[in-house]
Amino acid sequence: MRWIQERGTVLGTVSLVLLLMGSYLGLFWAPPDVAQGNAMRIIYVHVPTVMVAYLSFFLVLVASALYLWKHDPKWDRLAGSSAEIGVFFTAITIAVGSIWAKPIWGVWWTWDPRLTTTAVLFVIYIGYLMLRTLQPDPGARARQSAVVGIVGFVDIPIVHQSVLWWRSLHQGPTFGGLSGPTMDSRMELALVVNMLAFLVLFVYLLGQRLRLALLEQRRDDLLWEEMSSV
Amino acid sequence: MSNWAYVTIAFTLVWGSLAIYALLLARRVAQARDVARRLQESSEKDATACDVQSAT
Repeated sequence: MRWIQERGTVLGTVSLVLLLMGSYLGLFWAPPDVAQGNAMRIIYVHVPTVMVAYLSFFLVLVASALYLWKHDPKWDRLAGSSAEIGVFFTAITIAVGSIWAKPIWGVWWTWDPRLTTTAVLFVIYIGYLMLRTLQPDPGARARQSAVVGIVGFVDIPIVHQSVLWWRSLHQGPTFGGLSGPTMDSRMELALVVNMLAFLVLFVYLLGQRLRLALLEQRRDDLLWEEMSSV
Repeated sequence: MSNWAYVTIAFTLVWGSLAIYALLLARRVAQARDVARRLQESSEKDATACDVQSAT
């Protein structure tokens, strides 16, 4: 974790360069889709943002389990930091998905299984962040949020499989099918570059958020010392 | 609206929200660092005052 925090400038610069490259490839280099035309270009930001959201919540799961096992506050800090980033990227995913839905489905929002389970995911982790804010006792906060962080992850496989389990307007998984992606190779490359860009960006943001969590903990410790000495 | 208009809105939203989040995060880090430094200085000052008092 320290490695990420110490390389903030490098990670920030690399992610910015990759994001610019990815946007250029997605907007101008990759061809338009046969059925959806240029509206399909939204995939180059929609899929990477949801990928980062999934990754963030997976980290929340792992860090929460490690906290309950080891009782080391660093795992609680990692879970809290990762959850905030995950919620941010889920919000972007929903907003961008809604913008994509309008020209293709004719509506901004519909209670489709994929959209509904994603909205539930968003609400679960908003609740997780609220719990972290409202619980004043650090030990109880870490324990309770670890449990919510583990239980909340149950929704991720449901979100992912929703397009296969129920009749859905949403297209099937972009990756992970048995036959592999069925895209034009230029579209695939543009998508992979964007996914890589968002992955590096996630590492950069996580490093910054972890630094903030550490500073906040130091501040709380000093305040506690000051209060107990009075 | 044309398809390009929706694409432009989506990309602007993503870039804009990423920029705002990164800036807010940097500001929160700077503020937290400042508060922690001030508290550290004040606790060190208090400790020095206690040492002087006990010595006299």
